[in-house]
Amino acid sequence: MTRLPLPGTFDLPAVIQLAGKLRSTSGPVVLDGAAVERIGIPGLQLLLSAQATAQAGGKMFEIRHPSNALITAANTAGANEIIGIGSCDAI
Amino acid sequence: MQFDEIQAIFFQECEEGLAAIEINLAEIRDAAPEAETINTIFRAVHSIKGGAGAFGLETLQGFAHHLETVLDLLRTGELTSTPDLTVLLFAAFDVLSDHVASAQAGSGAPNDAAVLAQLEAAAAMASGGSAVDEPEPVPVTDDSTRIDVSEMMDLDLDSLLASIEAPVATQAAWWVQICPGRGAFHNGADPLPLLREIETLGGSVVSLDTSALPSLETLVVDECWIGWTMQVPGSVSRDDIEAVFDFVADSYRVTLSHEPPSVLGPEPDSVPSAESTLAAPALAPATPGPPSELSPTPLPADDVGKAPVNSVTIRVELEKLDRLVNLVGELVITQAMLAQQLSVRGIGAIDELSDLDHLTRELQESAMSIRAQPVKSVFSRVPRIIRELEAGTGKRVRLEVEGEMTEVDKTVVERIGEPLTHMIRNAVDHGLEMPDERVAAGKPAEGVVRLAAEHRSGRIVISVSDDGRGIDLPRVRTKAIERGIIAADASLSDEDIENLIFAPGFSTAASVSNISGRGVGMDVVRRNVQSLGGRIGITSKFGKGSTFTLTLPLTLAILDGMVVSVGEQTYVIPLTHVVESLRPQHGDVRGFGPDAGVLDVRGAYLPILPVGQLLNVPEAGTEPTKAVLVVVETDAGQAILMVDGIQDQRQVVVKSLEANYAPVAGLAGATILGDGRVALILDVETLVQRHRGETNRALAA
Repeated sequence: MTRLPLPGTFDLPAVIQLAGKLRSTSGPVVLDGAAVERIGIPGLQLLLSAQATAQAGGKMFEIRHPSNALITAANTAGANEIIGIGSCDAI
Repeated sequence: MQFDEIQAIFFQECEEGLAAIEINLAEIRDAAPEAETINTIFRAVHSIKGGAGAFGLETLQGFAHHLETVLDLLRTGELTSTPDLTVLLFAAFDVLSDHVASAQAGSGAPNDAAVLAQLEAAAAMASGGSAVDEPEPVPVTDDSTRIDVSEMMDLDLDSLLASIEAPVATQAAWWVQICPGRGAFHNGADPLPLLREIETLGGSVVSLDTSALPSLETLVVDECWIGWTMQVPGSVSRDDIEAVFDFVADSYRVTLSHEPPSVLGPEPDSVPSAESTLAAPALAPATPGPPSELSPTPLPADDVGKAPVNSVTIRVELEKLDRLVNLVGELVITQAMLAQQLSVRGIGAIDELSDLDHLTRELQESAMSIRAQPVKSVFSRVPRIIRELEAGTGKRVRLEVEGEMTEVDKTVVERIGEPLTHMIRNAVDHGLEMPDERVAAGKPAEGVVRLAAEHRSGRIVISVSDDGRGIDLPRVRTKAIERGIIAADASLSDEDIENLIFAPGFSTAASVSNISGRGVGMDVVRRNVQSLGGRIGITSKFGKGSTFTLTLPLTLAILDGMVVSVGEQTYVIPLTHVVESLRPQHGDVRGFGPDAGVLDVRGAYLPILPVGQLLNVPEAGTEPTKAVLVVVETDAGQAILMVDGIQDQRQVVVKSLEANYAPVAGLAGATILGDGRVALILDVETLVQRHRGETNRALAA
């Protein structure tokens, strides 16, 4: 299982970096969202795409400990359910 | 381009916008407003609001929105311009400036509650009470959502239409489909703040469309592949929703309708004809409907997105300019060195050298002119100061400004703000009388403060005049004697007495000319001005008013100087101080104490300052009759600098001692001479003042 922290400033450069990491993993992925302070649509879009791709391939993909900034952004963008924020599983 | 850079551009545009607003507000105050004037203000506020939204500056955006609402009512004629409203607009403008400033500084937002309430009250007045609950008085029906050309050309017609249709206004919710398009992330843009803005209008995302979103492997992360359908309460006006998308990239497609969209998603195949499509200038080809229905945003889009003035300018980082100016300075020095080397070898008189000299000088002037800025940027702050003073003192003031386009070096512009502010405060606070006093004195109730700038013989002269009470010379004189600033029997010209108000002891005085009370006296102003190499003077006519005149060098980077030698050293005396130079005869110099002397210059005894002794220069001459005496003018009166000889008179490039070494009392800077040696520039004011102080102490002891 791959565990990755989400960046504090989840801007486009960070998105590009994370996309590279996610593409190089193959198994289940757990992302830690505790550090996220700034996130925009590029970040949410990547998470959406990564999650849809994982689901299609039958792999686990979870975001844990979402920060307030992440929750608020996902809420605004109507992306909370898709990302699955709120189902805060134990680690 | 980085986010910070884009934001910096936004703030620059804010400044331009604020300047445009202020100019046009002044027009409204002076005359009945023309439609275009209000439109210009509206557009500027609108741009600030749009930018603020994009950068998530919510308080700025919120305030701009309220101001915009009132301006919109004004331009549609639903509100009529009254003096009260103009005052409110000015107050709102000031708060808006504060908001921009605090957003830029990242500090807390200013207190805008009072002005906000007034703006809301004004807006409510227009909607005639019946529609108080609605933020916008013009609810629009489904049918009227098709924006036609008349909206842009004839605002009155539009409001007429709207008012006819108002009774059948529907409260049906808005459905907003947003498809940002691939280019939505360009230049660091992000649709999320737009969604937030819709949220603040009461809207929310109904559905997120990810049907076009590629899988992780094929996702191009810097392109936007998703879209939204949002619902916004019907009470929100169409304009408000559309305004959110005023500043989006060309790739956006946004549709607004009271009908739920039949196709949700970023790439709808068809759009119901009842919808109007509002899109960024480049309409997506897929958008159906005849061209006439494909309306632009309700505001002429060209006017909104651009700066009000299409000037042919570019923005350059100041650092680059400074480097250029510095390099040109070095070039000037090198050129001088070359000239000196050549003349030592007896080939100084070649044509090419004088061409080079000419070109370098021209290059230097051009480089300096790039840094030159109109004093307008400082003058533009004055109306606000006046308004605040008017409110604070109950006086009525008309400001006249002249020569605001006069240019002066940026460093000078930056540093005249404070003395100028003080002079303005002084003129209003203490120069002008209260309206009733003025009427009693046979003057109009409204006082005049005149601010003018002009170039005069290579310097900039800024004057602040008022038509107030002027300076009561006998009272100033009495007070000066009381305070021991002058002797009781001193014979002083009117000018001398006027200049007493700059004397340090005077600023703390309780009344007299009332030049006091804010902790900063005119003496401090004078010191600030002097540190810029400038002078400040005053002329006054009792009962008629006073004029303060500020004379400043156009630049602090070069100065004309007299190159003198003292012992082995070379110094530069700024030419602005030099009155004359002379070689005394035997007997002209009178001894005055053990090591001081005075010289009789046409009846006035001037103290002689031996520069060599003051600055501890070894082997400096001590015998006045073998030296050259340079008479200098300072604010402490005339004095004489004793040097060993005069070498030359030329323009020198000033190098800061403070930046390159450390500040040294008595020295204003340094320069590099043609032979490569460093010469120090004398700070004549300080030298003379220090010498006076020492002499006084010596005499007292």
